[in-house]
Amino acid sequence: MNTDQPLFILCPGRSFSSVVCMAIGQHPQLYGLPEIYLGIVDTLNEWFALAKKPGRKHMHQGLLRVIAQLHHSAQTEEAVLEARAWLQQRCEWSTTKLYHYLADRIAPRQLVDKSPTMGKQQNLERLHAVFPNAYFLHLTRHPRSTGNSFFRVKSAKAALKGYPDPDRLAAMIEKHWVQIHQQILQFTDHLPEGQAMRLQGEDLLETPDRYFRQIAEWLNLRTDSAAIGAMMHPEHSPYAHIGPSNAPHGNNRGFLEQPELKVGRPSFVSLTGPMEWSREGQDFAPATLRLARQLGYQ
Amino acid sequence: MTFSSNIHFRAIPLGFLATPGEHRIQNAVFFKKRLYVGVISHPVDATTTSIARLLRYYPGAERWEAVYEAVVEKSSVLSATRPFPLELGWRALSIMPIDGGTEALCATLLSLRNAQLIYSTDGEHFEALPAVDVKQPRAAPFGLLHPFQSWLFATPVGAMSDGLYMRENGHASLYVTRNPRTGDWQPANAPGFGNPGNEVVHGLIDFHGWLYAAVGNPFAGFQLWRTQAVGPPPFTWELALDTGARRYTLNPSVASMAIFQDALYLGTGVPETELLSDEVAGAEIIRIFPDNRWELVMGKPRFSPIGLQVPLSANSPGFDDSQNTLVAALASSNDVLYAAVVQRSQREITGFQIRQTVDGENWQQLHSPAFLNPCAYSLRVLLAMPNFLLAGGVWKFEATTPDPEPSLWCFS
Repeated sequence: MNTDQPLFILCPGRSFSSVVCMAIGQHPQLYGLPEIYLGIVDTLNEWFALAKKPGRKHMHQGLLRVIAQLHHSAQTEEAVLEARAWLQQRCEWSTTKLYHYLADRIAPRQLVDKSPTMGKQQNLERLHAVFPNAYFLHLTRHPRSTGNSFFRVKSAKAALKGYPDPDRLAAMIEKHWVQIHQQILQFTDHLPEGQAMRLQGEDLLETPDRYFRQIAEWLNLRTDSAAIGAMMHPEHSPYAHIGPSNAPHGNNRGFLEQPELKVGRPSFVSLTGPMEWSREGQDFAPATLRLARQLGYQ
Repeated sequence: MTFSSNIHFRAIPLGFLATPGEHRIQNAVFFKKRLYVGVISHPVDATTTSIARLLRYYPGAERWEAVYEAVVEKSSVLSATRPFPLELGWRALSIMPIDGGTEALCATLLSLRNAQLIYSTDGEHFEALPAVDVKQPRAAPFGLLHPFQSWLFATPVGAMSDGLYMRENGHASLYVTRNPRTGDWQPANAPGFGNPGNEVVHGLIDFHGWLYAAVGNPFAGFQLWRTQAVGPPPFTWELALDTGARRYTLNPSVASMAIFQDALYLGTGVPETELLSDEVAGAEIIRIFPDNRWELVMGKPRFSPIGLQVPLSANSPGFDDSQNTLVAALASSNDVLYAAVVQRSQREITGFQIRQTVDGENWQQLHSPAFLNPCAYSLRVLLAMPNFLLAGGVWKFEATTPDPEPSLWCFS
């Protein structure tokens, strides 16, 4: 791998990406990042503006923890404060410059980034523009499991904060799954063969060593037992636990609380039958069924 | 790696077909040193009858004659009342043992009401087998034919080709008999091999003592089943490959199969006799070994339960062209494997090519001026012999086409 070949994990939310990113990032030649949200903006100024909107404070925490860890080898409250100051002093930097700064800091290892791209083609194109030779892993999960997980998390937040409307949320879930996967397929279809690969999260969780080895082979990395064995321990990542009070998260909270890899096939779910989160008991739409089957789901 | 080469394909003119219309060469086989070709002709003039012909060629004398002719119903007439993807005409042309081992030329002739199996032991005189009751409404085991372990396997026509009957009857079915003349056909498998998504058996081939059935499944990707046909039917079948070799619905069917250098090669794509779904992708070639291990020869790189699959040919789907959606035919001789690759979209066929390989991995495209004939519409049939390759397909002529010269192509 050359120095400019990070691995980006692309998927909708609730697709096992936290544990998968941290696990892959434990390969001795890789470095797994929490959610740093650099792929959705062009400059650090814009990145700072992200967290000004309500409910978006979490979007800063991942990058703050990364800078603290890289500069101070620790994620204390002081280190996080210094990381914020360091970033503010460079608020004119482009995100491209910061991405390459991070890549240089962890070299010769390669970055593994799962930051959400919000299902926007321009964000995917931005990542590609920053690292034209990057690898892209399209990670999938059954739409029913994704939807159930998404609804559980979002409806809990909605109950707390009074938004969004539960019916609107329910209608959004299926659309969200379809749109993001379609965006990813549209983007990866135009990449040279081999630059993007697709993987069912369920397959990976069932036999992780088998697929970690294939991922390493695809990325031209070591495939020895020690390297693959390291990938079985996402909990060894410096970002696999609750952080200091001024940057506690930066990743899926469930993962931060229980970061171990839970090996085993997730429970079987079917495309047939009403969506649990639909008050009218609607089935999946034909477009969802078509896409889900194309991705290997039944 | 892909190479290309200019090859001289000799045209074997087919004077029978030089009339305005569409002429589909559907299958070809050698029997008693003569070449037999099944053709259906749909004249431009809608009032003129379509004809299915069985033509015979004398290689030495370079002469053709029609040995069997039948009027067939026209799909264009039927489509006025309901969708009818079945292309009426010849389904299969095979050499089979009949009556305790006598070799016969067997042909299955499709039409809406009366699927027929005709056979001849001398290539001159044909007899039709009587209709049989296999407990499926209006379906008879007169589709694809394949002899294996003293059994004759067949697909029922309804399940094989007629989109409506596929759904009504449900599921890919196979039947067997010791002797088709007795009419004693029995089910050879559980309906759909136990999977309601398995709609069609597209191909049968024997390899390493097993009979393999390629089964189309538009909901999950093709499946490949195999049996040794031990004991009484229905037989025990083993799943050799499924989920379209992990490409799922983008590999809904296997359109062609051939054995080459101790591996079974599968060419993917939806056969021309069936309607295409919305998702059409570049075709792939996959090879499978007797232990069910498989390798991607040409296609999309992917992860799989048996390891990372990277195309051995270094060619992406459709030999690097996603418009090449169908490997319509695969044929092997002693030393060479050939593939007929067709550009098929929902609306039309826009081109075709022939490729060859001597090692299964490095493919060479064969170019010929003969392929540039604007009336040569598609490629369907490859017949590989040790010293030559025969290729045939679909020809289309308008009434205004000057000097139409439909032909088979021969490369020796």
